[in-house]
Amino acid sequence: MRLFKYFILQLFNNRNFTILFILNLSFGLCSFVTLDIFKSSINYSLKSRSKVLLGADFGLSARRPITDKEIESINEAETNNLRTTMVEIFSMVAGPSSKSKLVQIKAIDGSFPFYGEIKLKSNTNEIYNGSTKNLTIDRKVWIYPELLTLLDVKIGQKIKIGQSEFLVDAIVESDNAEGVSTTMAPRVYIGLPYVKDTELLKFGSVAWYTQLFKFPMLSNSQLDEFKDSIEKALTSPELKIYTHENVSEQSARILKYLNDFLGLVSIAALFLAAIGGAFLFRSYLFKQLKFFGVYLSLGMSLKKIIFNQTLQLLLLGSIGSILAILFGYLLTPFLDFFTKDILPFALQKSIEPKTLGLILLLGCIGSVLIGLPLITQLNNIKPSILFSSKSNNLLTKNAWYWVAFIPGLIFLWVLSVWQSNSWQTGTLFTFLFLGAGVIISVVAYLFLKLLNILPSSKTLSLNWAIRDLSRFPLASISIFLSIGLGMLLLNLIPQIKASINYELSMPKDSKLPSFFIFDIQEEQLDPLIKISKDFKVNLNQTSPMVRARLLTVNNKEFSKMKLKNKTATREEERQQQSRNRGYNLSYREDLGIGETIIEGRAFSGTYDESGSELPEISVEKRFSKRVGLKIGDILEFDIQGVNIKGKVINLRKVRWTTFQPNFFIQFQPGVLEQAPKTFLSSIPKLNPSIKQSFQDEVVKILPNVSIIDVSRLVERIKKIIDHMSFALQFMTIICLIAGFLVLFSIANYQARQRSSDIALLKSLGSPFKTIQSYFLWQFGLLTFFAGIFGVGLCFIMSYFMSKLLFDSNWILDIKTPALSITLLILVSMAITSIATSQFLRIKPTKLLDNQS
Amino acid sequence: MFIKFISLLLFFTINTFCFADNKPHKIIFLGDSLTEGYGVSFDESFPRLIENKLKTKFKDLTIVNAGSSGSTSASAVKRVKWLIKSKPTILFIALGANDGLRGLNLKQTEKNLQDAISLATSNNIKVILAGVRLPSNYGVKFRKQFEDIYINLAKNNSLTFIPYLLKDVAGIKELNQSDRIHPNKEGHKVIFKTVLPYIEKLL
Amino acid sequence: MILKTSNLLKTFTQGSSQIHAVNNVNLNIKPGETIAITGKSGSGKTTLLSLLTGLDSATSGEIDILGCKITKMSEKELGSFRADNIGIVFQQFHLMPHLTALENVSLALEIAGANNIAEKATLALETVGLKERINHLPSELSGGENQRVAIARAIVNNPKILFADEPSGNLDNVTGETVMNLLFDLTKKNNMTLILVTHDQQLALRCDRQINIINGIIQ
Repeated sequence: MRLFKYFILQLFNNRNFTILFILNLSFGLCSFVTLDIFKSSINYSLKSRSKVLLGADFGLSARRPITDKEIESINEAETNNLRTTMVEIFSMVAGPSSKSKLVQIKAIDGSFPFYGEIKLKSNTNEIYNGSTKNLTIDRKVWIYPELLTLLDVKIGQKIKIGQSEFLVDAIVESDNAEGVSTTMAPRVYIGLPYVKDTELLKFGSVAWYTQLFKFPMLSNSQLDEFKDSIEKALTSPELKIYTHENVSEQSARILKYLNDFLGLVSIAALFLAAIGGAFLFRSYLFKQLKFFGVYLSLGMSLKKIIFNQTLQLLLLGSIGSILAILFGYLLTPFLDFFTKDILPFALQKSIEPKTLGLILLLGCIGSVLIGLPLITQLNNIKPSILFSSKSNNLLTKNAWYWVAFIPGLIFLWVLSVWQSNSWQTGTLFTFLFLGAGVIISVVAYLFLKLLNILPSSKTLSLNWAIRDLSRFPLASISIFLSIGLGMLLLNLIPQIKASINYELSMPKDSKLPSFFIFDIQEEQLDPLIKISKDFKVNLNQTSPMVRARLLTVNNKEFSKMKLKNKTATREEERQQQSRNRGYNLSYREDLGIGETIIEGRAFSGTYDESGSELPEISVEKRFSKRVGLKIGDILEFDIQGVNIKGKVINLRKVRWTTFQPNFFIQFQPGVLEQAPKTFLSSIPKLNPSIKQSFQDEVVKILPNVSIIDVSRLVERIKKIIDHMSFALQFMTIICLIAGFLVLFSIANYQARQRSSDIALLKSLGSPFKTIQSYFLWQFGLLTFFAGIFGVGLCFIMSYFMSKLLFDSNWILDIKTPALSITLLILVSMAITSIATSQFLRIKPTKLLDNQS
Repeated sequence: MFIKFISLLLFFTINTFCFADNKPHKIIFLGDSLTEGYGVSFDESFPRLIENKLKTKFKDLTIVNAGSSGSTSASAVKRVKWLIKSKPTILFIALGANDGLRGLNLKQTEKNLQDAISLATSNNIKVILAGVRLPSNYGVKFRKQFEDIYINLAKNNSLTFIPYLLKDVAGIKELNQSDRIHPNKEGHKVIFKTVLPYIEKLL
Repeated sequence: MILKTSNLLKTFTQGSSQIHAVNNVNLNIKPGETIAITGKSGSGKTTLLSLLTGLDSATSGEIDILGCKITKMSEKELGSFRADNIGIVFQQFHLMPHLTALENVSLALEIAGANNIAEKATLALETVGLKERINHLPSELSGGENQRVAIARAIVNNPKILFADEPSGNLDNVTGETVMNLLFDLTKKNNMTLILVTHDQQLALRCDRQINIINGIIQ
């Protein structure tokens, strides 16, 4: 320990180097902190939006009242909670002129909703936030605007719900709360205490009973754990247990994308920080090797050298990480100030404890693990090299050198699994990344070989640059690798963002549905088309629907086929149930809006009845996974007593963001035309002025047709998606900046390490211009090719990640890589010329002395 | 023990003393999810239970389950047109629940069903009409109007009429799935018992 | 004998051929003797020095210093043996650039686990005539001064044997001479054995005995 002071002195007297090193390290780590601040802010803000959808954190629903015992077990599991009770029923409600209409009655108590608000419109068109308490102290209702005409009612008049009359108090301008029941009828809010007056809840009634909870103390991940534990505790099959994230399928999907994406972003940031750290530490350690020789010649034992050196690394790492954390804290108010107006969410002011831990781990343990391969080789150091002035290469590597990389990689792997909260994401990322690293190293090696055999050019500086690159293969490869991997990481996020954005992209408003129309009979199709023509709207994706029962798959009775895994969770029980169910079939020649074939081929056209082939079937991908169908399977259906066989020829993917009606199973045309069928269709977004009259007209002429207003749902989801796209874009930019910070620190460090070369060239009398362009060539060539290969590998890696993690189509984003390569070259050139011109001003003897 | 003995004896008696009926019978069950057996396996749906019960007694008996989840009365005529091609002898109609649940115009429902019944009877098909009722929350008035459709149709067409398909099933927790709308396996057994006598009477 | 080698052999493999850098060397050196090892560059004299100081290991043969067989020692034992009994002066000084003269000398004492470090280090620097410059960094000292610091570092633990590898090789004639005088004075005064590697014949003649090496073989 006494000797450690010499290692400290080494840092002190080498102030310039130490400061440069620590600053670069903390820059790299600081980008990680910044990313994490934004990540948690976005996460928090989108989750809050999702909470607004439910109006709460967590819910229990059933078609029966939730029992006290069930509520009690929630209270036991989390004492700190707020609870609200809600009942949803469908009923025919009559207006003053006894016009009646089916409505969804949502009976709420005064504490609903915990998140978001219900915006109301008064008689005087004034918009205000409704206080749900008012509903619980008076027999009043808030109604959806379409009921004004449907029930022929005005604010201040009464409507009859069941056996009781209610005063219409206000019109609902907007509300967010999704419930467990479907939105097939306009909504009416009433106060919970008045439900019994309606006498609608009695024997033979069907209603959704819901208890919603707010858990102020539970984080999002704790909420998921909480849900799991409640699912284990409350086993009644009638009970639906959900968090705000899975109340709506759409928002659940968006949040899943978000989680996975942000997980990836954090791993990318982690790896970026690790690359920066690895580069700096390794360069530093290489510099130290000579000193080890001196220590050895003075009789210091190897063990002591390793111990002290490790201690010194730990110290450097800790200072770097503590500085990074400090920077992070100092940076937050600035970030908040500058982003306040452009961000649709508030920045979290604190850094998550997990991030703090990660940074310390990365800075301290990471730095030691990075040094490990070099440390294993200290045995091989031949201090006798001190006698000769020939070579700087103190190190000959044996197998242990490579083995010693493994702990570092395992460390990184564990951290990435921890950071992304996903075993799969973390593992896949780590392995793809390692593969990329190996490929880049090999490419770099070949690249240098190629440079060596290249005919010499006329430009002196270029010649020098090429020669030096290939003469210092190790140094060149390590820069090549760092820059290549850095570019890979910083471009990976934009690439994946492009894929997710594509998945989440919604069609133009004109293509988004505002109504679903279903149960259209064949003979009603023409009248419906006529109505829509009168209103100048187009029916979208009108599809026939044939009800059928799946009898056999490959001649095996379908209902008796076993599901693959036996662990019967609630979800799987439902799947088992769905095996007994009938399916809605459709037929169509081409793909519908938002559909793509991801396996197999397209339909061959209309079915040829005289041929020997079976009719062709297309199956939706998720459905095929759930039920266990694959291409080539022969399915037999019973359609109202007639059996029809067909063969699966392709798997389809449906983009749900189109919100179009879709079918799991589709036949080619020419098979189902004769079967009894109905049609369904969707109506694109309508001008609010004609929306109601269109609906009225359809109901008048086609009384049996059901028309569902989905515009509110679509609007809500659209908002979340817009928010999400912004978040993706923003995170991508931050990631790019963070990546550049790391690349900057690498380039900067590298340029500054070459001062002796500059001095030497200067003392030999080369013109400044030649020296400068020699360095520019050298770094320009390296960064350009490393950048190109990094980006190329990024395409491959993002392809796999999109397919495997996001199950989405891979979308090539060419703009970001092009921009980033340009920027990379510019930045590295700028740093190089600044550094060289700085050194050029200093007298060479000083630089040479410094190096001794 | 005693009950088992009695039932064995009865079984024996029926088989020995009744000659099997060799006339061709084809019964089609036209309906919605209740008939299709939504949420239960095909073999547990009440039309299948009836088929299993009757096929020992009637050698040439075919039963077709033409239940179609989500279907409304509007599809009735079209489907009957398709179904009479296979020459049924008896048509069992249990449609309209979805009309009521969706709050559709009940006059239209009545008309749709009437058209289907007329088409069947004009083709010399015996029709059994099963009455359907709505959950209590739909309101007294609307439920009454809905119930009356079936009573009127049965009376006007002099049909074999089952007043309430879900008799002793609706509203009872043990006999329904967790959605409290669709009968479970046990519920279908009860429906089977409700429907069976009417079928047997017509055969 | 203070240093004795028997059949010392060091072989390098270069491509397919084997080079005997040190070939069957047998040395017997008495306490207090000053020895010059001479030879052209590439003759194997530096390799021999590496072996004798334990900084490199021999292919075969034995080295016996102060009755200890250093060829049989582990790395760890060698380290502490070197710290206590051997001083080395390099042609390129090899001072720690980040340590002052005093600290550079103290380092050797600390490694050896000595007491009164500051005192001894100052004394050693005084001996080599650098009393005034003990708080300077190597970059602030001249070449000769640097080498004197290195000599102070080598003798501070009172080693029995001092190895010097072309100690004046990096210095001008006058400075080189001063440094060599210092080295000879110190060894004589402290009754140290000096093993000096040089290609300078005149310098070699100042030693008690000259050993000439050609192609790894002592002539």
